[in-house]
Amino acid sequence: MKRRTLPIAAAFAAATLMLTACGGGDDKAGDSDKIAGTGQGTEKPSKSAKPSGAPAQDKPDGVDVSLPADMNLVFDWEKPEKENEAAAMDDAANYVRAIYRGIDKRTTEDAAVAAYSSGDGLKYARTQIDARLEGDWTATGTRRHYQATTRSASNGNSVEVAFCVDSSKFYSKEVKTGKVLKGAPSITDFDFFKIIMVKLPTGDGLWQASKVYVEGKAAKCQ
Amino acid sequence: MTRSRRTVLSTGAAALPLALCVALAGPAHAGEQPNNSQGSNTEQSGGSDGTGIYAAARITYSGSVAKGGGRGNVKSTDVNWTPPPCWYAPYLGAKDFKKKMSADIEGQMSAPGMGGHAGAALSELQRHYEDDYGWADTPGYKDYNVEKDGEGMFWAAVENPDEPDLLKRNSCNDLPFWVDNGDAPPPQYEEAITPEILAALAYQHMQLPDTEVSLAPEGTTKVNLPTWAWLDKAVFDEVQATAAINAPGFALQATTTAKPVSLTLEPGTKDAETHPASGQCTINADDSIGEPYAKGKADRTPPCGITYLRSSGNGTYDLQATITWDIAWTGTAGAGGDMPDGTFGSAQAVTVQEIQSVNR
Repeated sequence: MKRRTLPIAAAFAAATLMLTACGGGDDKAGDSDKIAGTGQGTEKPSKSAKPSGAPAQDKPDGVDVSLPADMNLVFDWEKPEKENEAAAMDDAANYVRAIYRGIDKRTTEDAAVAAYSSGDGLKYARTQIDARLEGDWTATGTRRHYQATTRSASNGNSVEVAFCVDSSKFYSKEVKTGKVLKGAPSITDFDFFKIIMVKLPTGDGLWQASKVYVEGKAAKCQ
Repeated sequence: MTRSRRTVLSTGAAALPLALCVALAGPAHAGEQPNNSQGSNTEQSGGSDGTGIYAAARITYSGSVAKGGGRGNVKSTDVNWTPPPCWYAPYLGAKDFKKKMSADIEGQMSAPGMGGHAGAALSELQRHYEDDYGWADTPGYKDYNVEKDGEGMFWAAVENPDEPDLLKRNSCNDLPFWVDNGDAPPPQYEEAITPEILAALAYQHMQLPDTEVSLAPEGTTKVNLPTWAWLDKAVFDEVQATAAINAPGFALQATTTAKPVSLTLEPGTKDAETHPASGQCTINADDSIGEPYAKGKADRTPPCGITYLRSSGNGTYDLQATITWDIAWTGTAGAGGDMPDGTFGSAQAVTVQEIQSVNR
């Protein structure tokens, strides 16, 4: 049987790990979120933040979706009541993780991308990864996902997961030089995503992103 | 008096507002680059571009349909009636399907790090098409049915690009399934294409002609002075639109026919009387509507028209003229039936002046 994880808990755990691990100050991303780290100086979980020591929740479907410590994806949303929508939402988050995992690993062929997408969802993931490979960028900082809503098609096997993305504290980093590229904050940092998640009939609760609609410069997400 | 002039109120040529979602790579992001919209689907695009599953047998439209394959101009009077958001249609023969599907599955399974539950799901998908693995009402296939190549087709989902609800548009999510030539698709696929679905699509694409509603007087009238409205017999032709699908061993078509039945006038203000009082002018025995204005009729009440009771002041009233069309369909194998009435209309600004301004 498939074991589902709690994405919020996982995201918070990851955030805490990252912030304490990065206490040295080499990375300024996420400065405003440092409350979590202030009172916990005695714990030193820096090793477990490494992908190699990925905890179980990094492989929700047996495929690794873990990310490097400075690539922090926060899914600030609540699990919907309906089971299918909760599962679709979890895997929508895994799909986003998969894209950034591909960016980190410098490949469009990562198992996570193949596991959580099909059709146009796969195409979107590859386009996004490729654009960053061509630009020689990876990413660093905190990308926040919030204001999520879910809707099911009448047969229950398609779910639309819609959410806002705030990239104002998420930056491109040149792979060669390690230089972090920061521009002036603007409305371009906000996107509204609608992802159509479709249940794979042969998978016990595996949902794949089949369509991705992105509305850039989303004022409603500010 | 200048009332004998007439104008033509065109109820055609309504531009469809096409919201284009253009994703351009924007410069100078504060946050990460590039743009997150790059590679995303656009809400106005349907189907797919080769990376996904979609039916290769396209539906073709003919007759009085919107140019460019878009939505037509008919508005259904039944708010509960909607065209199908998606359907299943013939996609590929067995050998072609094998080529496409097996490459997709193998590509995903061979991704480095694939395994666990996700890997198992993909391998069961492969078994479904290669090794007879089925479940409930969904039988499996041996080697993608290549032994039956030419005797049927795999069917797959098609999106209706004119469906505004993205979720509904993507709700035909069953795996591609086999249908033998001449057989009906298995009953669990309720959205499998039928002449009735084609009729609904023809309805959605139908373009009603620029039907000219004649008005006298034109844009400016007087308080208490009736405006005459009429439609000549000549504009009353039936309109037909046809949707057809042709695949090897499979062909369906349906034609919708629209006939105008009435003209509805809405004055755009409460301070007006319509003639008849219902505002709905029905068709005459000779297939015309209303009665043309002619000199000498000024003091009569028109069978079809409007009398404004109050000046529009410095502004205008929006006179809405809508034609209602009775729509029915016929299709392959004698299928057919009634469809919701359709309407198509447009507004015209009318200035109503005080009666005192009339020259005597």
